[in-house]
Amino acid sequence: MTEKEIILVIDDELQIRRLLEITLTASGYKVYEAATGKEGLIAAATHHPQLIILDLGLPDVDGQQVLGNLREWYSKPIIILSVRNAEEEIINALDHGANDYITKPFKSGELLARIRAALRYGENKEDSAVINTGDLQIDPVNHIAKKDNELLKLTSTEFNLLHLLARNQGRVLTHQYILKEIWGYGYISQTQYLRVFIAQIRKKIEEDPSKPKLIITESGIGYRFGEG
Amino acid sequence: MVTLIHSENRIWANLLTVKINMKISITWQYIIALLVVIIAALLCHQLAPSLGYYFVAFIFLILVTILAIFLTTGPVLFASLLSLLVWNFFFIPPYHTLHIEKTEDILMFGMFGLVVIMNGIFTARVRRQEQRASEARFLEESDRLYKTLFNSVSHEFRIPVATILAASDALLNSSEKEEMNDALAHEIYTATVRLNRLIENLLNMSRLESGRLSPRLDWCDVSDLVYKVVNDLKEDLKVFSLKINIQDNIPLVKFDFGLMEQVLYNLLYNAIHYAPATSEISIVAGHSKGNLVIRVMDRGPGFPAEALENVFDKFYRADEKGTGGLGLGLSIVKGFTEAHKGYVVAENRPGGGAEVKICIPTETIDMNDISNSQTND
Repeated sequence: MTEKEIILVIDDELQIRRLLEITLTASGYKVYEAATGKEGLIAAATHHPQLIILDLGLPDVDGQQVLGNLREWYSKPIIILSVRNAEEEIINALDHGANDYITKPFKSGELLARIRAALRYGENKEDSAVINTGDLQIDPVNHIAKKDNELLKLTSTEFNLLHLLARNQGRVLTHQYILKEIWGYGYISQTQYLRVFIAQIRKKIEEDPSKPKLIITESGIGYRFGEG
Repeated sequence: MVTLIHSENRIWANLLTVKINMKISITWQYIIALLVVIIAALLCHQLAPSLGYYFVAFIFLILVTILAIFLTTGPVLFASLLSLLVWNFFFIPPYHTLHIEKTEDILMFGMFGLVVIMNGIFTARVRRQEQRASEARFLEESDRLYKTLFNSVSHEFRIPVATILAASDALLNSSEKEEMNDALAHEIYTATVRLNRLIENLLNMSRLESGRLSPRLDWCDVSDLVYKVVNDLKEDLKVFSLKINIQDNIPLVKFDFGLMEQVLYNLLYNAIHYAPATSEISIVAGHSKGNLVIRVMDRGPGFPAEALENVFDKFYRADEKGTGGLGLGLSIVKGFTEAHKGYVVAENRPGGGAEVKICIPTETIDMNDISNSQTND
């Protein structure tokens, strides 16, 4: 460990900011805070954070717009804070460059796990790299996947889907995004394909397909490739 | 503490009658009175030659009495005076003048006038008293409902808040004793989870009541739904023997995943809180005749027999056990299920325990069809 990683928190609620400052500092991050969207944009430019936590309900500028402005130049992970039952808002943010989301109220342990996953995601992005996660091995160049060193029988769609999820480990991918990437634009609302193929892949890679630990369902939003 | 609330539906019924009376605006009441008298006069104009004008007086009398049932005093008196004048002007000879020639007609006119006006006044007065009584009854009942609710809501909020306050205060003031800190943090956590659940339920209820809840239907895998909810409650489920039975090759069905997640969560949560530890809780899911059917069954005390029809009412709790809660869980289940155009049934199981079944009409897609169509290319 060299320098402390910097996290910027953009949230108008003083109590949430204070709580995040305490938890994140205790976990070894350096924390900067901003209470409004404008302050947030300035703070992001001044402090060059490794990760930004952005609340969608800001008093001055719409959180989605802040996200848009940030994404014009900022390429590191952004985690959205949102209230529950706001699926459409969350999906919108995820489709416009947010890496992950967490709903209020949240557990600090869960938030820290998401932050770690997002920071790790920022590190390696090579599409052709072999992915090793748990007992899974995915080799995109040779188009093969192994579990416990045994070759998995995957159709090509199944392989592509697994690879897409695995190389975005820890990140939530929305239904629409996955459908677009694997099946193409014309299939963007054909969730049924996704459901069927996720069920099939789970049968092949999960220890217990009824208690999935690798491909995790995010209700009404999408899927996340877990820690295994 | 919270008691059973049966009266709620009656209160709404009362409110409805009061509303109907209030609903006809006063202008419309006068227009109705005017129209009734005009139509009656036109009809009687045809009948008068054969039946005589005294008969016409009786027709008017009856009409004013009937109007008094529906309208307020002003329009009734207006109808009374109008019919008196119309009777005099068009029906008592000489016609088309207010002048009356025969003494017996003058007497008859006076008596008719008196009767028709008295009739109007008395009927209106009786009806007003009835309305006042029903309003008083409504206020009384809503007052009682309010008090019961207020007590139960404030109790439910105060307990977790009290725990959080006391526990965090103790944490702030304690200098050592890590063990105690752990225990206190645990209490804070439990209290907060309870508080959060209360808020979620109240918010869901208000979403339902606002009438703006429209499910976002999408293709879903029922197994995914069941296991997601089971995973969310896995800590609480540890002490039970959980049986999950999902029909083989269940097709994909269309529902709002988020809403159905809460439906199933509430059902399972109830089972966990009413059934004794180590007993069996079952979830059975299947598809038949165009319906998705999910049943959650436990071996707890079941529903009290007299409560079966009330369990889905808001703020209703079939509770002698002190399990806490506001009694919103099942009414949210019902609301969300009905938002999917489905229905929900609560039953007691043979051999003891509760069973709640939800049934939702839905389109289906066979998973194998999709998978085959895709692997072939």
